[in-house]
Amino acid sequence: MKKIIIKPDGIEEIELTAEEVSQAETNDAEFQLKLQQEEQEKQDATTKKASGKQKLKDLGLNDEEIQALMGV
Amino acid sequence: MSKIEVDQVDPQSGTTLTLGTSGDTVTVTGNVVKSNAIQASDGGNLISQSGTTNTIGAAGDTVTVTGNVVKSNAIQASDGGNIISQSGTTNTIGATGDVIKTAAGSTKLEVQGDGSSVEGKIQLNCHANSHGVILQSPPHSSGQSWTLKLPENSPTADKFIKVTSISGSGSTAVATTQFAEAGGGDMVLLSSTTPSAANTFSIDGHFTSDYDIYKIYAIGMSGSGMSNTRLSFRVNVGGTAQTGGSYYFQTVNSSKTTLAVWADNTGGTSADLGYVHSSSGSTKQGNLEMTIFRPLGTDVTGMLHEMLAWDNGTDGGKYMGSTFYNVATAISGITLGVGAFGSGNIEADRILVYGMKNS
Repeated sequence: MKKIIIKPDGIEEIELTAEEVSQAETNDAEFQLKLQQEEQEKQDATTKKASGKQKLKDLGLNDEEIQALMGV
Repeated sequence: MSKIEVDQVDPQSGTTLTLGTSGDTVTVTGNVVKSNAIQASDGGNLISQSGTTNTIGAAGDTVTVTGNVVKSNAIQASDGGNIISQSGTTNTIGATGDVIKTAAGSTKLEVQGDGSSVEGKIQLNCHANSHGVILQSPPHSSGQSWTLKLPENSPTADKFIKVTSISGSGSTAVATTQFAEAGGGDMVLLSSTTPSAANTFSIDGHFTSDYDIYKIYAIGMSGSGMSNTRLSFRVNVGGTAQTGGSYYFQTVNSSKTTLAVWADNTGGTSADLGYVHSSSGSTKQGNLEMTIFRPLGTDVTGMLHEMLAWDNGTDGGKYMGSTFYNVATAISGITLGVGAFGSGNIEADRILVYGMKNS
């Protein structure tokens, strides 16, 4: 891999150093971890929403009442 | 000394008039004018005439002309070279190798029209004199008598001759000029490049005190081998992309049926702009527009960004947002890279950088 430097007087192409390649791979791993965390948080929110809705139903509220109260 | 004043002295007899006798000196303080010659005191002719031929001096004389010699078709200088010569209807000033210049104080050289239909003009020839370009007066009917002064500053590439001020007005105005930017546009193109595929594109060194607002366009974007198909960016300080956790951004992802927000309000190590299709030369290209406000200000730099792009080449959408680089410092540019600056390559058909005029 290389990096491009665009300046007013032209373009320069430079090969990435081993350190820069390694950093890119580290960034990949960290971003995948971040995506997994975001996905897990999204899933947790969905689960909690369904659980809360069920508890309201168990208390005797119907879907329209729950929708009016919670928007779910 | 006695003096006789008469209008005419004639011989008493014959046709010979003798002044004085042998041994006398007859002095004539001026020249002697004969019917066909002017004679000097030595009896030699200064100028004599025979028929239509006028002769200056006599045999053995040296004729010195302290000024110029006027010939029937030329005026010659003392070195024999022509000052002005004529051939047919062409008059030539000077000889080969001469420099022709007006006298000091002659402040205008005038080339006249022909008095009826042809304007005055100056022709500058090629070295072989087989080609020539011409500067010509506007026609008489336009009624123009203005003056155009050559630029007052040094020539610079990509500049135009611009009238910066005038004195007088209308057809007799005197225009002062400079080499300057062409008018008519508020966006000045600073750079247009087609980079080859790379992990990052650093766009650096374009920010100057000439502009406060910059536009950067990356058009025809795709990629290859991208570990993360988002397009991210960082700011450069002193030419180096900054990795510190100082990127505060919000990018609204509006694609297909998705409406989501990518954001980092605690300081990320880069900011996300949109997607690019990780397929080299893809026809589902991404196009980015960024606006950077006052990059050289030593305060937090704010940037707007919008991108039209295809997620994985299937879902087209618009990605719009803003990013603050939350460090009070001047920035020298930006660096575009594979999502989160991971591995792989990005591509662009063209990257354009513009400065927005302040006034």
